[in-house]
Amino acid sequence: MEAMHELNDVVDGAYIPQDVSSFIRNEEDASSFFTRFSVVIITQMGSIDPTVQCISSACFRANVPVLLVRANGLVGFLRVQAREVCILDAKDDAAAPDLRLHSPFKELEEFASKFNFNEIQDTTVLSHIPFVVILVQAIAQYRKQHGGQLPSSRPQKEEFKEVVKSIRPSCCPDAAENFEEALKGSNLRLCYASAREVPSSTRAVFCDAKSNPITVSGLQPESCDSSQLGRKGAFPEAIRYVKLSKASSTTLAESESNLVQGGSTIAGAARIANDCRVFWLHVAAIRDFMERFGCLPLQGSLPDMAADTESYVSLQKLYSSKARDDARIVAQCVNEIADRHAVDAEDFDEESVRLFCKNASSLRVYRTKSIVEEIESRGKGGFKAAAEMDGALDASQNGTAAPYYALLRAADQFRLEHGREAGSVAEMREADDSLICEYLSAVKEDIGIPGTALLWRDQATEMVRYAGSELHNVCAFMGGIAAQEVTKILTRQFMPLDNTLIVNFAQQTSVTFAA
Amino acid sequence: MVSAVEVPSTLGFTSAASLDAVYGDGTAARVHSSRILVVGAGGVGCELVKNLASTGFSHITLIDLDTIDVSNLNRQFLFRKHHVGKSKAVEAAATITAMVPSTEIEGIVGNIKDTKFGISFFKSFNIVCCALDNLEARRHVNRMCLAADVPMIESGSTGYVGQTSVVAKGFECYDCTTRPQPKSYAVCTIRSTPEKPVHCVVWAKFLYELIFGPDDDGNVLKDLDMDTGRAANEASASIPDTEKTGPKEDAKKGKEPVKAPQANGHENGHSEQSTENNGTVIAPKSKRVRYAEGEDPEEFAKRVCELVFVTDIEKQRKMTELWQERAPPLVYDVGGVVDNLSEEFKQPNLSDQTSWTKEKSAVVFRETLKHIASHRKEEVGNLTFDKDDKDALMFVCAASNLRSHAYGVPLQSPFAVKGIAGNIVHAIATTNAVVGGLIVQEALKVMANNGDVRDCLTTFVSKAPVGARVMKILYPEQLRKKNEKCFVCSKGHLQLILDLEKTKLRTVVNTVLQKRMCVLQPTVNLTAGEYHNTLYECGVGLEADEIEEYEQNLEKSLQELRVTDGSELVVSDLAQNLSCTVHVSHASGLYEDKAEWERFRLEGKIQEAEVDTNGVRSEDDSTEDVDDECLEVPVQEMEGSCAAAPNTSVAIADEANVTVTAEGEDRGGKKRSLDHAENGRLDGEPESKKMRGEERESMEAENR
Repeated sequence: MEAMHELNDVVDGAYIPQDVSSFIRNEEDASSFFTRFSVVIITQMGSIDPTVQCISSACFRANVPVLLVRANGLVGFLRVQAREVCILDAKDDAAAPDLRLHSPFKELEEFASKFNFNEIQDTTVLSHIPFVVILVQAIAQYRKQHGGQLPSSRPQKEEFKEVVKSIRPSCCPDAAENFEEALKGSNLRLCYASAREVPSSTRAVFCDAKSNPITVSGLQPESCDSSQLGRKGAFPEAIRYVKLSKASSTTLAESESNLVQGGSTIAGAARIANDCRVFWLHVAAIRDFMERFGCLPLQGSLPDMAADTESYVSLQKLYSSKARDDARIVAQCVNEIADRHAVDAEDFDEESVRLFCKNASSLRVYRTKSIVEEIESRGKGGFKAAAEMDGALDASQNGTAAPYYALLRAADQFRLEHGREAGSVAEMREADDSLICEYLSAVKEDIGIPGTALLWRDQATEMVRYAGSELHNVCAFMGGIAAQEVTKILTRQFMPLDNTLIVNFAQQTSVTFAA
Repeated sequence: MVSAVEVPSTLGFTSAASLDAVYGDGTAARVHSSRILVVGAGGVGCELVKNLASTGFSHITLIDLDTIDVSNLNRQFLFRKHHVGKSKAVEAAATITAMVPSTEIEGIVGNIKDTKFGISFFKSFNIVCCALDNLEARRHVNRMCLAADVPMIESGSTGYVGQTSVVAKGFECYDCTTRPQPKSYAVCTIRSTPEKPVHCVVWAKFLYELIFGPDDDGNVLKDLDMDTGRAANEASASIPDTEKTGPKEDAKKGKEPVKAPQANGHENGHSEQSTENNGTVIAPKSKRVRYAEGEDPEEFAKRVCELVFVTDIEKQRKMTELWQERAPPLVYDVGGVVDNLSEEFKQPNLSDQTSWTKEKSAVVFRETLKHIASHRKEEVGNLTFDKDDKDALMFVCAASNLRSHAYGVPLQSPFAVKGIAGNIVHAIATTNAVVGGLIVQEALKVMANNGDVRDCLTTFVSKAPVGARVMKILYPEQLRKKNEKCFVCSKGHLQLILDLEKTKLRTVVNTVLQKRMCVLQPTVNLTAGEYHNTLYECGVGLEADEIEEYEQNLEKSLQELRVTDGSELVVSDLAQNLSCTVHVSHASGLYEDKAEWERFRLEGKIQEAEVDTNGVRSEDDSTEDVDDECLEVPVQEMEGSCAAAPNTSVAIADEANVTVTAEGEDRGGKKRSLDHAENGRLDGEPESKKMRGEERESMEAENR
């Protein structure tokens, strides 16, 4: 705590110098204790550890994200558990700009129709017509010829491309960037019928039952018994870290006066629940918009393009004012839903609606199975498929990371039953080795991994050799990854890792899968 | 290498037994006794030395020439606020000593390219770890390690991606693949001829730091800070960078002693102009654009507006040769815009997506200047652009729009400016941790194999799990065999194509040899038929008349020096243990549309069937196939073309994606199918900015 405070003196830290299993004996304890946090990080404990299971279920119920991170020799392991994280901005690099070329709004069509390419003599002017205008005209022309349909099949797309080429006046200089931009595949694609469809990753959010604008089940309080939350348990007091001043060494008694009042807040879980409610409220309103207008509210930004200042600025205004109009409609809907469901008006305002509209295509919901469910599901998760793809089920393959999923479990089982790490006593290494193999067979059977006893035999020996050692470089690596995931979850930006990562440092291989 | 010294049971924070258990017997002893050199004490460097010391490496030498900047503190965790301004290497070593007292760590303030760090210096280490942030130093260390036959662990971290690799004799070296040229803007584009919003935004960020930031001679707008008369004279040719550096440096040095903040007074555009008219070369007192303590904020704002948008633009307009193809910039009296705009305009919404008008930009610009000068006085001199700092963003938005207006570039909304301005690949602490962990893993593998790199890998760390079959975050690769045509590790030949009549030896030495080939102290020997001559030599131990002769040679054209089409130049650098044959071809009038120092092409030349006498030559023919393709691509093309191996995909970012090196760059040429556009283009920063505040995006305009 002292070192942490030195690294960053705004860190407000408190600690309990006790083994967590000494005061978290069951799920209720865990519920009362952990739900005050925004995220819980468990280090160097196995997923089958009873305490981990208590924490896992309690946090899953209260929707507090949990990270399980560990290093064992050259193996690193990370598991993210979250019932629901509402991602505000997935920062999907691949997202296409939202220009509504496929269904231009009135103002855009009017603006575009003001340009008559064949009347413009000045080639400088001609080569500075924004490509957006070119494409809006082209698509209008195409639609006229095709009964209002957008190009969808390959020949139709080719035909559309020809239309774009054909409206380029012959006097237009070859180097005109704007016409080149219009012909760029990524921009042509904005005009295809497929562009009207909301990408599947975005659609998932708006198809979620919680986003139904009528019921808005996302607004319902989740099944967590609030009487459980914040129950004052018999927990050891967390001692707030106070920096010792150089002048006077603080006595123990003094520092005890700085005790945190344990268990009195439910800030973490309650705040997360509220964030989710706000999220679903907005999503429901946007879904309503989508159902009425067939598209997401306009984002309102315009990418850089070859254009003269005036038309670029006019276009920009056009888009941003349309985006504001769309946001206004969504805001109305937010208000209506809020009224119907008695949502506190403090939770939303024009600004929040604008932000949600702008990021509409980047909204995501991240959900994982709970750790307990993963264990109980007996290999129904993504592990087997990932292991198979990775070649880990082929006994002749070496160096993949996947086998360590089973081996860490086997090693955990060993620790649970023997109270020490396998391989930690040099004299017993051989015996440990065969024990680990037995545990491994049990785990393999449990998670439905076929194959002979020889499968992953070498990795078992490695595991025993590692003997639970914590190597600094492996820890540094895993710490970096875990910190990154925590940042993603807390800022609700980017998609967190889904949901298990295993790194085999011996070969620098890695695998992720949804366990 | 195994030491007779008894190995303590705990090395650093790691138990010797677990090192031996995991990596094999004897590893702990070797780790304990080996000497390791770490070049660079930045973000990765801090992680690295911490990991090395904790793992038990007990003899560490750390080199860095840079000092600690405030912006480093968020991730270079070995430093504290009170370390700011002190040497990174020394402070990092002190912190490590306190943390792991059993480690002998020496911090050296120095440039690794300095000749005092010669081959024998490198030979004294068992492993060299590069935690550098620029291409030239890496290429140099690469050569030194090859010459000294010490395995080098290479690393890079930028944004969310990173990588590590190992270089050793016989394997691919840092020069075996061509690195894409850094994506940067020509200084003159930023300084004189912006064409896109991004150019104006970059300019505005420079301006912000020039006015409110720490002193930085690398700021491309530095000449605004100087005597305008002098600057105008220099700039008259509008030739940036190399050609201009000389006089600019002089002017700077000449002024340094008289630089006194209190001398600033109320300088305004007029007095600067009168200086210009008088033709005074050395200004009587410092003329800084930056805010001086005690200056009236109102006056200050007026002065800056006048200088930047009137005086400087007028000066630019005088460079008529620039404005033959395009319209000259417009002078706009920013200070004189009547402030009849409502209060709402003064407190703009930063997520606003409507473009500002020039009037609004003018008012905001003035108000922001005043605001910072009156309310954030104590921070002046330490402010660097931060897109989340409201004032900084307002300033950049307003200034870039005014600039855009002057040059006929579309004006932008604050939102868009934030996007452009914020498009920086930041150095991210978590990526550094990941990379730091990987480097030590490679170091331990080298230790486990007693110095052999056979188990080492090149590893790419991706931004997010990616993969067609299995989702992975790490993409390991076997170390590749060396490129038989590499001019550094394989005696490969190069082909230089230029206009012999018009190209001076100076261009060849400065640009081709020193800049492109990263030869530090080149010696150039000419063979043209029967004729042999040493054209150039530098370094210590030369006679006065030799120095004079070579200086004169620099100014001669290659033709005058009897270089003919088909001549061979043998370029060597004793310090780097480098010798390379360059075949010269004549191309009349090549690239005349480009700047004088860009009129050449340097290509890999396929070596004629000739048996390499170098014993380490690989017998593996398959590598030939791999590398052939590299050679089809000119080794160095100005536009950052990249000689990439097959199935390598190097994404080329568009201009808006231009970024600045964070902790360092990736080895773009090797990037495999990881979808990170920013990756391929982060190589290299100008030498002068080595290991400097990575946060400062200002660098993007450098290096051309």
